[in-house]
Amino acid sequence: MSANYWNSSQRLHWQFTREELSEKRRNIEVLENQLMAAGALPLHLKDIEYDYNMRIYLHNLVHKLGRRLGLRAIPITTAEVYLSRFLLNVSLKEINIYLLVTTCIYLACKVEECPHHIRSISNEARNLWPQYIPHDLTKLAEFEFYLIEEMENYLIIHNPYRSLGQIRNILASTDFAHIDNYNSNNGMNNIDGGNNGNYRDGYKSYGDLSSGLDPSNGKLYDGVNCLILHQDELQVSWSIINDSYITDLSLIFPPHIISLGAIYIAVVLRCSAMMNDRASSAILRRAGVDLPNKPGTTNTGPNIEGRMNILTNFMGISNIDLNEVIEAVQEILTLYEVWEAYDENKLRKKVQKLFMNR
Amino acid sequence: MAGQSHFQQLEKLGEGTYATVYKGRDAYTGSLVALKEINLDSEEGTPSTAIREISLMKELKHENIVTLYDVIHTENKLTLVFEHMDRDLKKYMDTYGNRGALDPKIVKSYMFQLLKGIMFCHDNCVLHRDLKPQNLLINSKGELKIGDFGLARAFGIPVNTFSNEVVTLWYRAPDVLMGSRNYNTSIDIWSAGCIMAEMFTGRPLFPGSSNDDQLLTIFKIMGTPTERTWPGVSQLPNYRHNFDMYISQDLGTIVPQVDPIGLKLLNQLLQMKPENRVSARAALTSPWFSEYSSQLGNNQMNNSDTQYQNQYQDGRGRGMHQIA
Repeated sequence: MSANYWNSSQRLHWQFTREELSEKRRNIEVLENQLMAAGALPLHLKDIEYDYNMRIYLHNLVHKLGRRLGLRAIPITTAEVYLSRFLLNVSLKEINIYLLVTTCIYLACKVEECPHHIRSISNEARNLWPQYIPHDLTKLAEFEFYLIEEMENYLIIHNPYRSLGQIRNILASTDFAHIDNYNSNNGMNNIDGGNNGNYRDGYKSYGDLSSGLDPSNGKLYDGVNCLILHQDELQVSWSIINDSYITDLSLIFPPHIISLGAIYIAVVLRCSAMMNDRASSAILRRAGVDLPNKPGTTNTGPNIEGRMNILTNFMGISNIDLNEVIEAVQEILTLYEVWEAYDENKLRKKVQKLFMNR
Repeated sequence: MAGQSHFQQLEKLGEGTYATVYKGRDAYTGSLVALKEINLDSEEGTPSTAIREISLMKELKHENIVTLYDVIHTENKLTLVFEHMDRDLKKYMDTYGNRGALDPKIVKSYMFQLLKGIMFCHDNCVLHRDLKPQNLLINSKGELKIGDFGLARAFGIPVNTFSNEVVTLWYRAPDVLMGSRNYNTSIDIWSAGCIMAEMFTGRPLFPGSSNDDQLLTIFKIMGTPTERTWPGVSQLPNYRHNFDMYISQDLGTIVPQVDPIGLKLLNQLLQMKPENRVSARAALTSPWFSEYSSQLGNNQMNNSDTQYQNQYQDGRGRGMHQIA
């Protein structure tokens, strides 16, 4: 929706530093300890943590229900942001996480204008998790307001998919192989946040961005000096963005940082997977991409080195905060490391504990 | 926020599409507010219209858009607390107009503010979809603010969910009346044109009584569109080849109160073919508003792109979906 990220409530009210996030989580921990001391929370929940493993589990819950309802990516990711916002203020030990996931999806569908009836969402959720979703619809309706309230009525979410498309278009239509050829009017200032000064005044819209940048109506170079992202790379970037919601990235960085990080990983991964690097191939497979094991087969335009060079040049002159991009890249790679060792059954048992002695 | 409200409920101000609006007083500060009360069905969750209004109003902070202060949730109702405005434009015309007609100076001031509010919405990818005098709020300082975003929507989302049952008939654009579903910002511009004419004359410009009658009422003044005047019109779902044929009339004779420069703007707003309608941003640079041009800060107007056509609906977003 509301396309102006720089004036958005997401940037003004729901973007934090890592320190602020730690502080908020410390507050939750203090509260949990108090509740346990007072006997209001069972002691056996002590070792349950809101860590990457738990967050992968929650992410899978959101995607399971999202798939059942046939949802597109945008409402699903909006629901994931709601989930992480809510759990910044409320301990997951105090609530029914299955109901929370269901409510996040229910609300995200309304906000993203693909509403589902409360009854159908509740039914689908109960099919998936019969023992955890109450028959009483008022529970879901009540939880919805609880959720809205914890988010202080800020419901509009900016996701990185749009800037992914913008960066793709800029890379495809501009010569970044030779920085000398760069001229400042070629659209560089048009990525969200590419030029903060321009955007903070709030009168620049995404509509302007897409206008001159669409390769179909703009000038498209011959594929030698510009970087046309492969379908694989776009698909991997897209999957990485989806996975990034397991981390805190959406609470820390603007969307374009995450999309550029995702593109960077995708291009590098594809290069190294083509060089038969097994770890890269593994991540690519998780993202649903199977590469032919012959390096360079599908390359059009510049070779692997050339592609990296173009991307690096683009990043260098884009005014995008590269430290932030690097941080995002590292966070995502750490997530994939944890994910390699993730054990869904172990988590399911852990989560069952949440419902014991309630 | 939930629970006991510190707002005292005063007289009823009106019935909206999905809510009742009361005047209220903040018990702490004594200041006036507008309380929009929505009844909740305990098994239904918060209505989509309320969710839409809350979520958009939390993002759209602008001097020509009414401010949402707070949301109060009680057991069976939801109350949106808005900034208080003295009256809506309809009541203002009835009370202060000369048989409804307003002084041209006031029309110009209100149009300028209306277009600024619309531009802000459109810049933020929000269509109001229900602009009409009853939804424009006026205060004693001469300020105009857009209210009632219950039907508003963000337009970054695929078009196929657009409902064609939105704008109140009299202010509804002909493309929407003919069943177009991929309308865009131009539908708000048509409404602005209707409102401008109504402020000058005191009477609604196109007071149709049904969908078909609304179209005929428009055709009688604007002329019946043909493939020649509006390429593609015959492809619209509700287009009929046997529409009564009318030739277009001079808007200057229908709205004699408007001066020539204002008339030019009115004609740009009321273009039958949606693509020909002026954008809010371009309308604000009309010489008709020259006396206000200093109020348009450079930061507001430095965006040279005045076209907001189908860029949002060109399938780019959906294209990306297919990648997933």
